[in-house]
Amino acid sequence: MDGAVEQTVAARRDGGRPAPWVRLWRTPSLIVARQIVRSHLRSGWLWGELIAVLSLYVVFFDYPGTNGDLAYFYGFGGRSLGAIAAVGAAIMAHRALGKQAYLPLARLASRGSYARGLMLAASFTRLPLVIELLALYLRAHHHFQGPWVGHFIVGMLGLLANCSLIAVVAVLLSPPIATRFNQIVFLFWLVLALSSYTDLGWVSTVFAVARLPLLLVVACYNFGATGVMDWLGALAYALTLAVIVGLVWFADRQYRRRDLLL
Amino acid sequence: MAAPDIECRDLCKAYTGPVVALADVTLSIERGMSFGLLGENGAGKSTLVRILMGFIRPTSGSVRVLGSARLARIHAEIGYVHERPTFEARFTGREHLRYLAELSGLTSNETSRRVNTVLDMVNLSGAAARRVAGYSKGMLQRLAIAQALLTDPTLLILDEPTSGLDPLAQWEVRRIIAALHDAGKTILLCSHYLAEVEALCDTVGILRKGRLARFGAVNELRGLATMVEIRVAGEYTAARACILCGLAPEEVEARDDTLRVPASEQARVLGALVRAEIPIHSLTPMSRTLEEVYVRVAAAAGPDHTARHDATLQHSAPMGARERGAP
Repeated sequence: MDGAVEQTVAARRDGGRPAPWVRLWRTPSLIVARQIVRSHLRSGWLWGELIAVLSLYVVFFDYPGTNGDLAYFYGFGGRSLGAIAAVGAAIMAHRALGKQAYLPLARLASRGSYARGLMLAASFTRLPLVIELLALYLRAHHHFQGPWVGHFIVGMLGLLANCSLIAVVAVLLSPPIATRFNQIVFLFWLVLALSSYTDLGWVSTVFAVARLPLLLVVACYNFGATGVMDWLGALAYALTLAVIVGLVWFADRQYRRRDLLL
Repeated sequence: MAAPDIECRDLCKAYTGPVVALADVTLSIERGMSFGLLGENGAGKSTLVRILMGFIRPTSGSVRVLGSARLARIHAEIGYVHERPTFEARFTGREHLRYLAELSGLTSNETSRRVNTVLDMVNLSGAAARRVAGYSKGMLQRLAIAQALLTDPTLLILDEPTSGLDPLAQWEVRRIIAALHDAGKTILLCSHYLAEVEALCDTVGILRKGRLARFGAVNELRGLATMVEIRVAGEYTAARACILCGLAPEEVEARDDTLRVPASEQARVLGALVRAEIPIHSLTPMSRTLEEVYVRVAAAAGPDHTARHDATLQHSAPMGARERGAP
């Protein structure tokens, strides 16, 4: 057995088997995710995102006379946080997948751990932004009574799921995980899907097929708009989480296949 | 007999374009060997290193590192220094090392111990708590070497570790590499600096346009190229002496009053000079430097050189200088 491995094994033997949560905490994907979140924070980008959310709230939700309509809040907030999630995750991926990835990758037994860690970090950093927006909203419009609480919670779940999904897609579309061809195909699909919302006659009807992958996003969006999560909604929510996991798996696979010429 | 630490067979890598970065490279680096990989920019050195690290996949051929074909699996046993190591500027040297040590699977206690050890080894303990943004290039390079040593690896792959450093920083890095070689590590050193390779490596390979044009022990490569310098006396110039003796220009190097000939040709050239009654001032045996060997390889290869270095040649000849199409 070689020196390093021997030492590591010996150290583990001396220290005993760590607790399960310690083992989970020290899995390569989580180590990478922690480092990327720290880096995003120290570089100032996370602060920038937090300030963007604050600005959004001040401009669009905190004007005199606002009644704190939850449907409006989640509708506009969902789109705004979605845009911030796309930009923030793309920046995070750009920074993490550059030349500085060589050294961590040279330590990992699988490149997939790095991709998973990055996606985990991109999803996780949505949490403080959502919490910030909700906290700001609660500060001014707290109605902890009746159906409002349920609407608030259901809307929050939908908002989090959509932001995570968008963040994961943004990472998936970042080079070298995605090729330029992948990016073009995605943009082409997006144009088709969005074109179907304009009145182009029968063409819109044909293009409407391209909207199908957006159904899950729409379902999560509607949680905030309606405050209702029935069994169909719950199924859509579970499917959204499954899609996120599937995209992480796909990114892992794509990243392992790439030639890394960073 | 133990398997070599690095074994490549008929390794080819073509990028789209098509650009052939590596062509039929076969080499074998035994345990404890210090191997220098030379070649100009674009010769394929970094491509070979990236393949060995599993960052890119060969188009064809096979590669085994530390006996394993699944290269990522044995990363913990390889110390790798990238040609331009990039560290997050806002983290301290110690934070970087801790992160990479954790990724290597070291336990918390082991991480602390190894980080302190490698910081001492590269003389960076005093700067470990400083942000990397304030490091000089030499310090960054030493940090890169420190991270490569975290797991006390068997094999070190160093891609131009002294590139762009000032002479003192180069000396420090070379001192560290020499100490690691003395400690029994297998070292693959890619470098543009011939003197560095000559000083640090016992075996060398010269890549030329993706092909391994030479491979062998440094001493044998230089020894094979032993030359004799003959100075002619009187009013003769070396060029005139060549004409009078009937020596073809490709047989000898003639400059001013000095003829340079391979040692194997010494007797024939001396005989010709004596027959032509050309007085001889002195005769000095000389060894080529690695630089001269390298320049000859480059010159011989030319723009369309076809020097091949294949598996058969590698494994049929004894370890030492092996060449084809040599001048």
